[in-house]
Amino acid sequence: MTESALTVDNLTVRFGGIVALADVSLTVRAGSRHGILGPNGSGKTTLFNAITGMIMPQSGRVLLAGREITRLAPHARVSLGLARTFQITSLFPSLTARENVVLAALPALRRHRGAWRPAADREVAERADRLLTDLGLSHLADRPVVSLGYGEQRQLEIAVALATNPRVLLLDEPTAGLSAAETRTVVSLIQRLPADLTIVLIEHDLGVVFDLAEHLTVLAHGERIADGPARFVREDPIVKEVYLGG
Amino acid sequence: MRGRGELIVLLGAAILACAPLLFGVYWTNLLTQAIIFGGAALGLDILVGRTGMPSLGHGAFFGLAGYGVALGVTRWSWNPWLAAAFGILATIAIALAFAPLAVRARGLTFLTVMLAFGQVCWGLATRGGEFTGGENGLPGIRRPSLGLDFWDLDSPDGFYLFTLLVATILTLAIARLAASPVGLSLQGIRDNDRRMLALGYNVAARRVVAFVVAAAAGAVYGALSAFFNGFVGPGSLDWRLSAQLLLSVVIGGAGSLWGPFAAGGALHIVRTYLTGETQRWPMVLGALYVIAVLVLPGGIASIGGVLRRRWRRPRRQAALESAP
Ligand SMILES: Nc1ncnc2c1ncn2[C@@H]1O[C@H](COP(=O)(O)OP(=O)(O)OP(=O)(O)O)[C@@H](O)[C@H]1O
Ligand SMILES: [Mg+2]
Repeated sequence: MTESALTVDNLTVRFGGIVALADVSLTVRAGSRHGILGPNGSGKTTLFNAITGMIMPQSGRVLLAGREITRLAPHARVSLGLARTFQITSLFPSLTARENVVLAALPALRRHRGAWRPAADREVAERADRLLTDLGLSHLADRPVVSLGYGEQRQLEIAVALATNPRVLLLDEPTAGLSAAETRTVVSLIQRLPADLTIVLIEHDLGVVFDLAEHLTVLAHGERIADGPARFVREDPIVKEVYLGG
Repeated sequence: MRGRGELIVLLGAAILACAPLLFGVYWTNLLTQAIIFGGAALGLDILVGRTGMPSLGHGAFFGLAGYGVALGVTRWSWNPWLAAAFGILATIAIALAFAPLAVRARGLTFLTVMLAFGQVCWGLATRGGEFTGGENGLPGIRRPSLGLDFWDLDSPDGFYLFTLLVATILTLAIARLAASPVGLSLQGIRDNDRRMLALGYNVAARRVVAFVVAAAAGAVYGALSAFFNGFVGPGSLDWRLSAQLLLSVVIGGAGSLWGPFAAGGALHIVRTYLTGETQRWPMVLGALYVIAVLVLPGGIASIGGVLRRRWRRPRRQAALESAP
């Protein structure tokens, strides 16, 4: 049995009267590509918020590589190797693409504290440039984010998450709102990410999900209605009825 | 890249250092004050432009340091250097004490919290009776001495060059801070503070850093101003000074550092001219602000980019028209 990179154990999140997540459990194997499916409002983003510490669950546990992180502050989870992207792009608009990556990389390198040495010294700048080059974004390095197209911003969002040097990467609808061509670019970017990086991916585009994920968890109304290898989940009659069939 | 920035500061300082050779006493004195207000605006830009926290009470730090100097020299008969250190350090201590509370507010709330802070300082100075000199302020501030035969701070040229030296050192230090991890993180906080939190930055602590750095710069220039005038009064704590500093940052181009410095200096010179002609300085300041926001939303510092775009557009059109 392969070790679990991320375990969610009976997680419940309520907003007032709304139950956004009801006793949801899932296990993400190290190095796997794990898809999260579900209709709008089914609790997918809430699941990511609880895993990354942006929302505190009412009950249940979150474990990262076997270590309990349920009550840790968001930044403490980042330094343990957990990174995410946001459904609504969350970048630093007036800074350049390189500066965005540098800002994300500095805490991981424990270099975010100095007030007297340059932020992007040679080592940090080279690291940022290597990351941008690996993702095919090096031509954007000196452009401010506001001047980038939406598709480019979505790709940079992934670069910023990777700059924190994660072992587990959560992607919240990385292709939402992209054209078909841009979607293909982002899918191939995700496919080229290191094989030992564990990726959990929320996605509405079924083509994208089946291209990328080998394991699926399906949510509806905050409940887990299916979980298993992608090819089985696809054939599950309940899933077909609730989600795939429409 | 950083080396180039430092070179530009040093070059600018070298050019300004020639001013006493070219101008008489009147202009040397005017430039001394222009550097003082430009420098204070540059310091404020760390808070307003870089960190995104507009303050309408920054003049308080300028004035408090001046009063510290004045009290030391005139009331307690201290050596002017000691009084300067006292005025600046006491102001930094007040800023440090107030910052954790102040930076909880954002945007318009922060702006008005700082306005209130400034008004309290102004009120204390005007109602301070004998101790602060009330409405009359404290005259008779002796300037310090460098103990050098060739550099007399009591002469206009000597004090001008001393002010320029202090401003150069402070500007180099602030530019260095701006390019550091802390400086970059301030821009990150301005753009997206929630993302900064998630990335592992202590956002509140860094807002405090920006606040105190800006206050410290304000304090140094406030002390220089007190020595220059030989006098401090409630005018140095007037909210209109805070407004002038904030508008210098906006008109100069928030976040660009050099723009606010240029605008701060230029506004002082314009004000000096206008005060001789008319009592309508606040109106002119307001009008300048409106024009700047309408014509150059990015401030003076964006003029290069704007001109380049203006220049390029007709050429590109011409190229399109000449195409078959
Ligand atoms: N911060 C919040 N406060 C109150 N209710 C919330 C909050 N966040 C989410 N919800 C509610 O919880 C439910 C799940 O929302 P969530 O954003 O997790 O859905 P989702 O599966 O990501 O949907 P989508 O596909 O539209 O992104 C919704 O009913 C939503 O309105
Ligand atoms: Mg969502």
